[in-house]
Amino acid sequence: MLRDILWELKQIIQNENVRMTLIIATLMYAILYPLPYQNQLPRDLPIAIIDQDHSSSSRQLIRMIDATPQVAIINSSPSEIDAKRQLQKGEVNGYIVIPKGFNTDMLRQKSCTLSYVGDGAYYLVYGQIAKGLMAATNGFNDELKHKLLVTALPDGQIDFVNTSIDNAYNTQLGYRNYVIPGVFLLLLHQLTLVGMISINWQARNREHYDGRFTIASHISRYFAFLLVMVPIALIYYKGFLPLYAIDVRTSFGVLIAFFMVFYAAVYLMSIPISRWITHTQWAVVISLFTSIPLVFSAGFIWPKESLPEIWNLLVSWVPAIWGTDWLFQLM
Amino acid sequence: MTHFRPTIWCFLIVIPSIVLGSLGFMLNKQYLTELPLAVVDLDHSYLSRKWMRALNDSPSIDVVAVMSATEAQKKLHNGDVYGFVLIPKDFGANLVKGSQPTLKTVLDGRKVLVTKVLGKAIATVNGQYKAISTAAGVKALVGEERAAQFSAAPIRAQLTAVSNQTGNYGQFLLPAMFAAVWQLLLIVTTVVYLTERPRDSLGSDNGWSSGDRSFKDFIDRSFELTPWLALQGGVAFIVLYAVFGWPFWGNILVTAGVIFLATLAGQSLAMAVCMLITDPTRAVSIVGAIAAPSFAFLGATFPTIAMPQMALIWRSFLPAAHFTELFIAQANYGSSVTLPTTPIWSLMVFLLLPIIAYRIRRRSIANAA
Repeated sequence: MLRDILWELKQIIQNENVRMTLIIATLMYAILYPLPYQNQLPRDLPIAIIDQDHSSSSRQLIRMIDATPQVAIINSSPSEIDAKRQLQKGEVNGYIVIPKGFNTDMLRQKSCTLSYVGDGAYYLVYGQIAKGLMAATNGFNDELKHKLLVTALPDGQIDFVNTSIDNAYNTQLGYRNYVIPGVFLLLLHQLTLVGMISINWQARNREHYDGRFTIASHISRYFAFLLVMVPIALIYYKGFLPLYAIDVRTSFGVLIAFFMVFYAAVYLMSIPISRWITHTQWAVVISLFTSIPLVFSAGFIWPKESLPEIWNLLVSWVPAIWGTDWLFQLM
Repeated sequence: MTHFRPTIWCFLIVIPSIVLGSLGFMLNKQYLTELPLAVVDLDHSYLSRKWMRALNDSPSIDVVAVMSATEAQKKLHNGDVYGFVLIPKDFGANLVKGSQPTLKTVLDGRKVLVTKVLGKAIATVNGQYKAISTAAGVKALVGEERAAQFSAAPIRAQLTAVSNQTGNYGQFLLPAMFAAVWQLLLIVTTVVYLTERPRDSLGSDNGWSSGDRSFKDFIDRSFELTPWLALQGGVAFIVLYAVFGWPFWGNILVTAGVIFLATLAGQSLAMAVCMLITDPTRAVSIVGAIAAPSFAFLGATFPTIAMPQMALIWRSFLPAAHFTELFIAQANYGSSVTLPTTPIWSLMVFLLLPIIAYRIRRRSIANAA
């Protein structure tokens, strides 16, 4: 048995394409994928401001907006047309208009409305700027309320209910913590699948493995894959994730047990596919084109409740899908 | 054109229909609705139930009543709910007395999109109460409607999105996904076609590109696919915008030009790789390795402005990134603006890749001989 496993291990390591996929690609992607999200959240997003009021209060509001971490005012545009053009060219991510009469309205104690225009196609940016703007206006309002009559009110009337919101597991709502733990499992899933299909395809074409040795050889091949892929999974979850400041509280033993089951499922999936394809090139093609649908079916980026019921049913057997749920519970 | 093998037709028609069709089907709800949120009501008063009902009325939330905080925590950990709200014991009594009760809310921060939607929905429900009560309080003091409104919120911010006004997640995700998948498709199709093995030598792994091919041979063979690939992209986007009924502000001719340029850029990348790597599986793996992570680098979900320099460098090697920028500018702002120039130049640079790759190929063949 041990000799069979070592023989299979040799097959995996000697196949250059498989070696590249399982070892080089997995390690490269572990560095490449988290790269865009290194900064976790967009900060100091450039916006333009159109101050039609030119009063001391409007300037104070501008300073308060600029002081929020989310936005940076790069430009005080004279006209809305200019600002709109800058937005369309992507020079700014949004613009804010302070209407004429802002100061007088305030002195007359009349509500005044600021308008913010952003690009809804870039949702995260839009939301971040809105958040900054809301923080600044709330701050401004609070200051104003204290100066004006509202101080006479009992506290309870100003804030009806206090809500404290804590974000468990990812307190800052950083994007790296959001995307990477799930994407890592998907990477292991897709790359291991390519390797397993290729090796099974190669074995199928080898007369030696036809006939009665099949089940025994599958078992030793599975263990040979474990010898390569479990260490890589451990490097992912115990090496890279802590390096990216993402907590993994699962113990080594539990992780190893999880990945033994996970890879067994991936291995079982690779057998029929390897019999069906005509060339190992297809293994890569299948893995490439299922990636984006699988990322959005796994539930961590897009909630399963918002996917069609039938789709959830259709993909529920894929190891990457139930594996994500299971791993998140363990983490 | 009819001499394409079934495999190539599969890449031109079957695979995009399945992959893009599934993506459209998956995200057809476009909004996040009915997200399960546990509520622990320790108060059991009329007011706490009223607040729970208001929460349940929000289209984003599906309230799951649980008995204890421990149970809620467990449900959150198991992923059954996306968060929980704790209504404290004296919630109703405190409200009546006019002191502020605190609602403790815990959300699953690992699911950022869901957390944002839930946070907003909870804030909206609270905001409705807050505005009403503040206005009522001030009105009672000064007896004037306008002052009451003013003190509830002296300055209000009105938010307007120039495109995708309703905050539709489908409209912001799907075009970017389609762009990423289409680019991957056209690059992989070109590689598969250039590395196609002759029918009679099934045992050998040497494909078309490993033979003695001139630069013109490569160009000619790739060009056979160009119109089909461009058409594929065009049809995919037309179907996407038509099925979902999203507005498209772009100029059709300009958009067609952008799609054609992006096709050539992607094909150039594929050609360059095939000139240097003749093994069919490895060639597909290499282009796949470059193009597969495109979606993360596009800048549609996570903005490019927040990416570190290294990520931007990698991004510049992805034709899909430049294409998406041009396409989104066209789709959302239309022809009234000139196109951003940087992505156009970037796409043009890709056209030079085959020339460089072919020189390297010649040299290595000469060295080998």
